[in-house]
Amino acid sequence: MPAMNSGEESPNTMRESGFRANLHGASLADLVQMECLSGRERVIRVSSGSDVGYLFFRGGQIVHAVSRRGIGETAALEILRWNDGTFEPCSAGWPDRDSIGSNWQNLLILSAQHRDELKHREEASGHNLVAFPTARSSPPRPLSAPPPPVSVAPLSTSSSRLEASVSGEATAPMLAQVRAAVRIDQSGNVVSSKGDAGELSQVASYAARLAELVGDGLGMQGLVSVEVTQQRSRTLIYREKSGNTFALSAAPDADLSQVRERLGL
Amino acid sequence: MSNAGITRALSALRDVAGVHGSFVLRATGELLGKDLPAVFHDELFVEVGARLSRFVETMAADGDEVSSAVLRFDEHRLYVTRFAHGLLAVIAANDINAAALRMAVTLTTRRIEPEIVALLTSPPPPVAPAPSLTPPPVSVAGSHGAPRTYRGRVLTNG
Repeated sequence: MPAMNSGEESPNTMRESGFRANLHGASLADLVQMECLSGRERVIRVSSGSDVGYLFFRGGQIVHAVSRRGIGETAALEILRWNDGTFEPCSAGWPDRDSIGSNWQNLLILSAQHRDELKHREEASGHNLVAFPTARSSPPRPLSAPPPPVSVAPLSTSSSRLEASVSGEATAPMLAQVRAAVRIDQSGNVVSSKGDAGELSQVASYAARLAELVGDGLGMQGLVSVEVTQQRSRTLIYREKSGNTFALSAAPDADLSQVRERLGL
Repeated sequence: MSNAGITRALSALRDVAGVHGSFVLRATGELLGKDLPAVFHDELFVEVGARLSRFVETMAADGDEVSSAVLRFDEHRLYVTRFAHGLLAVIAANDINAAALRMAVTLTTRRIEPEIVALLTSPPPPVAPAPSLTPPPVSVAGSHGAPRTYRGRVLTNG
């Protein structure tokens, strides 16, 4: 991601005590993570080119988001996909109700997936876009150097800014092994998906319900997650606080420790 | 191996701190043995076993067999390991040493698996000989075995 400048102070920028930062090279994911870890309650105005969006932070989570195209998770994912811009606190009004139930880690994962999906589509369509230099990306290659290897995994995130910002470069190989991911609401509707997630959504919905019932029978309440190791794959099913179910299917040798860490497992 | 034998083998899992107990099911969900506090009575496993079996079946719906699973709950975890003829499930605390548990589960599975196979394939116990099917001798008795009479006199054939 290119430099994130605080830029000119906008009219609705909040003035408050403390340091003013002007960070170049930080990714939006870095800043979101920093904001969440601080646990503060405030609104951040994110702008990128002509786009403007607002992220509402409270209790270490993104609880609401607004962009020109929508509100809630849709807006948050849209904003998190922006590559450059400014990130500054502002005094936007708070909504009556929160519009986001997913935790920030999931939002970052999903935005990385969207970003990679887009990248793969561009690569598949023959576009030869040159990536902007980023704070953690490799130095520019000489023109004569061979191109970097391209993973054939549909969810490859080898160049993702997101996972690198959350837990270091080691995350990239892990996410490269993810084959499909899906988020399902409580009614079984697919909220978002990645890869061939058709069967995964059905399997995850039913398996999560059965796991819940098994837990109930044994006096274990509050299903958090299910992780299954199979001969040809690994599946992780995570029950979000909102009641939605997030599931991913990965290669059998995938190291899901980074995902677990992000989900707090 | 008897249920008591399976229970003894399962009790070794409690050596790992954080293990609350364990149980073994057939692949179809029937309880084969358990090492759990008394509150986990056998009837409970009729539903739990069937659901856990369906869970494994669901995950393997596309032919990709399940090797193991971890079900995480607020305060506990359920570790499930599939072996040739069944499932071994361990109820544990969330802060359990997973590496130690994996080792203990491997050893326990190795120990109980052949015994369970033997248990499942052993011939049924001998049963008492069936009563003779030879019909009683034909007599002139009436329908209930009593001699036929007419006005107090026994009737004879012919």
